[in-house]
Amino acid sequence: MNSMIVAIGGTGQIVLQHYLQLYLLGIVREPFRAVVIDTDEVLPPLQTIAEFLEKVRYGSERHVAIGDELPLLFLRRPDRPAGETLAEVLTARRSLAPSELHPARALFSSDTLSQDLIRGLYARPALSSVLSRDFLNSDDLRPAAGDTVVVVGSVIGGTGGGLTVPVLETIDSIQVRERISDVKIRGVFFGQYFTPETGRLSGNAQRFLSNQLMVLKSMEEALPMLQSFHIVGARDAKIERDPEEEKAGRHFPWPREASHPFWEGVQALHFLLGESVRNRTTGFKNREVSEIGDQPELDRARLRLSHALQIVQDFIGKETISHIARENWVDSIWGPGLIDLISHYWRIAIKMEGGDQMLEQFPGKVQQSLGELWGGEGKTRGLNIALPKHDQEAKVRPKHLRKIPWPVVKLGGSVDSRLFEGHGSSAQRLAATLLFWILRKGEVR
Amino acid sequence: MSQFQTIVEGPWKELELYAESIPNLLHWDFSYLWVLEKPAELRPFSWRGRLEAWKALLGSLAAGDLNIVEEAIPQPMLGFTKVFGIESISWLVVPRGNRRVGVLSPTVLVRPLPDFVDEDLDTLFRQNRIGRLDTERQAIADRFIAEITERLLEQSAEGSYGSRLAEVIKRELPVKQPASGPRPISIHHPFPLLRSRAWSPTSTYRDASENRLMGQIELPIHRGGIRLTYIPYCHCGKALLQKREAAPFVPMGNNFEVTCNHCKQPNTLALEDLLIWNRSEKAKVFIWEQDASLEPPQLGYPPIPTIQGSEVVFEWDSPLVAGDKDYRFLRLRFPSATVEARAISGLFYSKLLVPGVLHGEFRGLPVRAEWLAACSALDAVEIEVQVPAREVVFRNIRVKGWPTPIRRVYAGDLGLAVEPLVSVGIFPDPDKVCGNWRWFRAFLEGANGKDFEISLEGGVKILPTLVESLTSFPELLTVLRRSAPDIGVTFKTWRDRQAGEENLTAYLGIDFGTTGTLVYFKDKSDAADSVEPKKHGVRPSELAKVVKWLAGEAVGVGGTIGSFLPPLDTQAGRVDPYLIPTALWQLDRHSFIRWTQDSPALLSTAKTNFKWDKLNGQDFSRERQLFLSELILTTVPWVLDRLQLSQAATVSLDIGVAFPLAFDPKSRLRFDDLLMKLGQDLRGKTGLNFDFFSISEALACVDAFGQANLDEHYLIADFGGSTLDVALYTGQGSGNPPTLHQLGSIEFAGETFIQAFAAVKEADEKAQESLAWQVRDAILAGECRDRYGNEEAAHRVLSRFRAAAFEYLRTMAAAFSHEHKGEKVKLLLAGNAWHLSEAFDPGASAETWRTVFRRTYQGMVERVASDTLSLYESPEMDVLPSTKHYVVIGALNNAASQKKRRHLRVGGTGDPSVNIAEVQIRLPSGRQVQFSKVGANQVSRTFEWFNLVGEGAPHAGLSAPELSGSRIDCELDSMPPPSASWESYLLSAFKVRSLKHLPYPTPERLRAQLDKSLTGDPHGYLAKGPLQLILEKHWKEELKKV
Repeated sequence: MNSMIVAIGGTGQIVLQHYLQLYLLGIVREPFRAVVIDTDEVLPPLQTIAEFLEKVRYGSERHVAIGDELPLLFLRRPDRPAGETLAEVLTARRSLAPSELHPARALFSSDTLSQDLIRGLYARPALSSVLSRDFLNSDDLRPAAGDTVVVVGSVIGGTGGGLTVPVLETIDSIQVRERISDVKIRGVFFGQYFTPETGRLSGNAQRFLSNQLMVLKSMEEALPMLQSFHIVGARDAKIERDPEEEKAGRHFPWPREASHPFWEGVQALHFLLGESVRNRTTGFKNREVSEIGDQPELDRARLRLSHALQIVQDFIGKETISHIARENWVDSIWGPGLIDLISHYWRIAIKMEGGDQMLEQFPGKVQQSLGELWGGEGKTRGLNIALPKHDQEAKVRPKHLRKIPWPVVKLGGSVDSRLFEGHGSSAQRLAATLLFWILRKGEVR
Repeated sequence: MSQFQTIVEGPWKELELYAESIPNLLHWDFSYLWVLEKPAELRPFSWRGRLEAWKALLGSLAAGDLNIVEEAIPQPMLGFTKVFGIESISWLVVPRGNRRVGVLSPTVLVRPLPDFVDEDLDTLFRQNRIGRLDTERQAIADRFIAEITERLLEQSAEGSYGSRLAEVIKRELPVKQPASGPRPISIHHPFPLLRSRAWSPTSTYRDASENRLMGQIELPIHRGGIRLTYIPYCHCGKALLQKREAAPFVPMGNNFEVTCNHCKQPNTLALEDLLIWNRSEKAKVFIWEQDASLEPPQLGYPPIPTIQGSEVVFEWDSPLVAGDKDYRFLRLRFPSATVEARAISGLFYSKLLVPGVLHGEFRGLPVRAEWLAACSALDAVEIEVQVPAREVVFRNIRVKGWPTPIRRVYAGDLGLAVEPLVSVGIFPDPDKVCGNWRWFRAFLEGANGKDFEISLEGGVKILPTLVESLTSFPELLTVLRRSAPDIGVTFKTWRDRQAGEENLTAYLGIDFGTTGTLVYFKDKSDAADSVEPKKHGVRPSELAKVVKWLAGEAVGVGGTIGSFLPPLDTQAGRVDPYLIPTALWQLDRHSFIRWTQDSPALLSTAKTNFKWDKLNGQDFSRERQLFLSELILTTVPWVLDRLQLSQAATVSLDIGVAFPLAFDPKSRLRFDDLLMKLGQDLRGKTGLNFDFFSISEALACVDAFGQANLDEHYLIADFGGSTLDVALYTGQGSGNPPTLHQLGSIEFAGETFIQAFAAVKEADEKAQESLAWQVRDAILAGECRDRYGNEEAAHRVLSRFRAAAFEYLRTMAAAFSHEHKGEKVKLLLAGNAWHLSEAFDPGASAETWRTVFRRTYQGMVERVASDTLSLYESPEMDVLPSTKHYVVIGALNNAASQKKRRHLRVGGTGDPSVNIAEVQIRLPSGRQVQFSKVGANQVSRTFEWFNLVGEGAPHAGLSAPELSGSRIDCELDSMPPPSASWESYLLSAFKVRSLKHLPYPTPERLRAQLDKSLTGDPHGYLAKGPLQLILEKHWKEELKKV
C-alpha cells in the first residue's frame, strides 16, 4: 500500500467519497491510506464506509481482510481551541476594546479577531495558522517510504485554503526529519469551481478569488517539495453545489458528466496516485499537470455499480444464506468458494460462541447481519445509503455468485480471534466480507 | 498558459485582495511583500493606500521620526506565535501622542497595522506627520534607506527574503541624490527578518540551526528613531553608573544617593526614574515593566533590569554611555524584600464595570483592589464621561514608581461592562451619621447583583455581595464580576459634611417583643411631648433612605436591600407599618433581621423565639445581642438623620427597653448584662454613647397610657408574643406615681396560639415549625385573614385562647373587687396577641382593626358580665396602629424622663432609687389552695382564689423550705363566680359540659407544680398561684386539642 490520500475540507471529502465508492466497486484496485481533515463534520458516507471496512477486517492489522488488503481511513476533526472568537483564543478574554492595542492587533485585523469560530473559518485561511497548531502534530500524516501522497482539497474555503499548505509542509517536514525515502508529494487543488451562495460569506465571491490567488501563491512560496499538482475548475464554468445534500450524504449521486469538477478531481487523484514517471521540475508553475487521462470512466463505473447493487440486493432479498444452509449439493449450485468462506466463519462462530446453539442459529444471524449492514438498523446507516442509487434491473442467478472469485481460506492464516469475540461478531464479519466481495467482484453477465 | 500562471502571474488590479487569504500567521507581512513584488501596473487598486503608508513609515523610521517599542507577547497568544519564532511585537510609535501606527515586519521591515484603511492615510500624514518629510529630513531618510538596502544585499543570499526586500526597496524608494555631507547620528537597530519558510507550526525546518525561521539583521537608522533611554547623570555631566562588580546601593525609601565617579559629588536618584516602587512596609519591591501604551517617561526608559533575588541590576548598552564598557551598571539591593517585575496594565481592570447606568457623574475608578496602594492621589484622578459616546477617560492616574501620569480610556462594549441591573450602596450614608460613626456596610443589589462581588480593604466579607467595615467608612470599595475578575470597578467615597463638635442627646424606646419589635425615638427638644407614632415611630420602610447609592438604586431578594435592610414596601399590606420582626437570618458568623421569608444566603437559618431562654437552659443571649445590635445599627442612622443630629461629633443615646415581669432574676441579670455589653460594642462601632434604662412591660403600658385620674382603677393587660403582662393600679393624680395592686406576667401569649394552631394543622414537628413561620409572616404582612381566615381550626384555637386569657383577667378584677367593693376597674388591652382576633377574622378586611378589636373584646367583657370590669375605650388607641405601641411608648418615656428607671438591676445592684413595689409580682391565686401541717406547729395556710401570691405577697413567717414539706390541696371549683354567659362561653371554648369538667391537671401534677413554685427564705412565698400554673402548664397544651 504505497498510496496516501489526504482529503481536506468538504471538497476533499467528496472526492475521497467517490474514490472509496470506486474502490468498493473494484474499479480502483489498489488499497490506499486516507486521512480526512475537516473542521466541519466528516461526511456520513465516509463514516459509514469506514465502519463497514472495519467489519470486513480479519487480521490483527487494520488493513488485513481475508484474502485482500483494505483501505485505511483516518477521520480527523481538529479540536477547536478554547474561545468563541480568535480574540478570545489569543487573549483568553471575550473581546478586545477598540482602543486596546493588544499584540494580537499587530497580526490580525479586528474583523478577523472577532470572527465567530464556532460557525466556521469564514473563508479566512489565515485562521488556520492558529487553529491547526495542535492538530498538525498528528501521526496520521506520517508517510511511508515509497509513498505517493496526494492532498485533495479546495483552495478557496477556510478549511481547504487554510490547511492544505500547512498539511503539505508537515508531511514534507516529517519525511525530511525522519529521512523517509522516496516520498512523492502531489496535489489536486480545486479553484473556484462553484458559484458561491450569495450572502453566505462577507464579500464571498471576492474572498474566494482572493483565497484562490493567495493560497496558490503561498504554495509557490512554501512548497518546493510539491512534485506535481492539478488545478480543478479555477477558470471553467461554475457548477452549483447543494451543501445540504452533500452533508446529508444519502445516495449522493455521481455527476452526470465526466467533465464535472468532482469527477475531474477523482480522475486527477487517480492519475497522480498512479503516475510514476514525472520528476519535479525547477519552476513551480511547470509542475502543474493539465492532462490527467480519462480513468476511471464514469460510464463504466455506472455499469459496475448497477451490477454490484443488483447482486447484493438479490443476495439479501432472497435470503441466500438461509437457502444455502438448508440445501443439498451446495458446492455445485453456489460454488465451493462461497461455501468454504461461509463454513470458515461458521466454524469460528462455534469455536468462539458455543456449540450446538450456534450450529443452528448462525445462518439466520448472518442473514440478519446482511440486512442490517446493507439497509441499516436504528440510527446506524446502511452501506447502501453511502452509494448512489441505480435503476437497472437484471436477472441474478446462482452462477453470478459462483463466478465471484471468493477469497481462499488458508488454514493457519492471520485471523485475529479478538475480532470475533462477542455475540454475533462472526456472523457480522462474514456478512461484511460477503458484501465486500460481491460489491467488488459481482458481475451480472 | 497553465491555470496557475493565469491566476498567480496575471494582473491583480481588479482583485479585492485579502491578507487573511494567506494561510500563515504572518499573512499581513506576506501580503505586503507579494504586492510590492508585483509590478506596479498589475497591483490591486485596493492596496494603494497601504503601500503609501508602508513607504511613509519606512521613510519616517529611517529619518528618526518614529520610536520602536518592543512588547512581549503575553500568553495564551504566545503559545500560538512562539512556534513560528515570534515572541514579541515591535510597535512603531509616533512620539507625539504616543500613538502606535505600525509594526516592524520580518518581510518588508515595517508595515501599517492590519486595521489600516485608506482613510487613515490622512491622519498619518497630517496629524502624525509621518511620511511628510522636509528636504533635510528626506535627505536623512534617503541616506539611511540606501544604507539599509545596501546592507540587506550584503548580508542576504540570492532569493532570500532579505534580497527580495532589498529589491523591493530599491524599486519603491529610489534614492534621488547620492548622500553628501556629514553622516547623521545613527544607531544600528536589530530588525526581524524571515529566513526560511514555515507554514506549519509543527514544521521542523527551523530546528536546523543554519536555517532558523526568524533571523535578525542590524540596520542603520537615524538616532532619533529610537526612544529615549534614561541614564542618570551627575551635575558634572557624567553618567552616574558603576562597574558590574561594584557594591550595590541599598535604597531606604524612594531615593538613594550615588556619588559621582568623576567629580565625587553626591547625587540623589529617584527610584521612580528606574520604574521602581519600593513598598517597604510590605517588604516588596515592584519593577514596572515598560509599556508602549503609556506616555513614556520624560527622561526615557531605563534598560530592562535583571532581577536576582533581592538585587536589581540595570545594564546600559555601551554605545549609549559614550562607548564606556565598564561604567554602565547600576546595582540596587533591597534586603529582605521580594522583588518582582509587574506590568502597569495589571494594575487596572481590562474592562470597566459600570453598575447601573453610565452617567456624567460616574465616579468609578479602573484600579484593581489589590493595587490601590500602588496609586497615589486618587482624589486627583480626572474622570471624563462621554455618555453618548459611551466612553470613560481617566487622566492623571499617579502610580508609585512610575514617573508620568497615566491615562486610560474605556469605551464601547469592549471597554465598558454596563450593568443596569446592579446597584452599589453604602449603609449608612456617611453624611447622615455623626462624624465618629465607624460601622458601615457596602453592598451590591439588583437582579444581577449576585453575579458580582464586592470587597473593601480591611472589611469583613459577610456575603459576596456584602462587606462590613467596623473601623471607618468605606473610602475605597471594589466590585468585580465573579465569573471574570478582570472586569471590575473601584469606587472612592467621601464625606461631604464636616463633623461638628457638639455632643447631643437623643432617646430611643424599644419594645423587644417575642415576635415583633418596635422602636420609637425623640430628642431633648420634645422630651416632654406626648408620643405619636407618625412623629416618633421608626418605620422600617424608611430605613433604606439612609443608603448612599454609588450606582443604581435597586432592591434585591424578597425586596430587601443589601440583604439586611427592610424592603421599601414594608408598609404595604401590613397591619402595623412600624413592626419589626423579632427574627433573624443566621449566617455563619453574622445575622440579619429576617425582614422577609427570602433567605439572604443558601445556608442561612431562620431564628425566632429567642427573647426567652428555653426551659432546658438553652441560652439565647447571643441571638438577643445580635438582634438588638442589628436593630440599633440599622435604625439609629435614620433616627439621627430625622433628628438632624448627624452634624454632631457624637450623640448620647438613652435607650429605654421593656422586659416581661415573668423574667426570672437570672433572665433579668442576663438581659441587663447583655445591654451593658451591647452598649460597649455599639459605642465602638458608632462612636455614640449608649445607656440603657429598663422597666417592666406592664409598667411601660402604665407609663404609656399617661397619668390616670385620681382613684381611677385600671387593669392593663399587655398580651404579647410570649407573655401576658398585667398591672392593676389606681391613679393618684397628676405628678404622683400610681398605686400598684396587682402586677405580673403569665407565660401564655401569641406564640402559644401559633404553636397550638401549627400543632392542630400538622402532625410532623418540622411541618409545624414551617407552618408557624408562615403564620408569623402572614400576620406581619396582614395576609392572615386571606390565608387562614376560613380555617375552622384557627377559630377554635383562638376561642379557647381568648377564653383562657379572659379567665385570668376576670379573676384579677374580681380579686381586686373583693378588697375594694363596688369600685370599677377599666380594662385596657395592649399587645399584639389581642390582635390575633382581627388577624384571623375573615370579615375584617373591610373594617378598621379598631372596629373588630372593640367589637370582639367588648363582647368578651360583656360575657364576663362583671359589675367591676369594663373595657376602656382608649382614645389613645385611635392614633396607634396597634395596642402593642403602649409598651414602646412607655419604654421611651422612661428613657426620656427625669427619673429614669433601671428595673433590670433590682435585686442585683440594690439601687436605692428603685421603688420595689414597681417590680414585685403579686397576682391572685385564682383557685383555692391549702397548705396543711406547715412548719413545726403543723399549722394550715389557705390561699383563697382572691388572695395574692408572688414575691410581693410573702407568706408571713414561713420560709419556702418550711412550706415545701406541707400537704397541698387545691379546690379548683373555688373561683370567682362566673356569669351565666361567661360560664357558657368557657364551657363552649373548652367543649365541656360543666365547670367541673374544665381540663385541669391531675391533683398530683398540680401539687407538684405548686410545690415547685414555693420559694423565698426566710420570707417564703408562692411564686405562682394555681390558675397561673393551669394556664401556663396545662391550658397551653389544651389549645392543641381543639
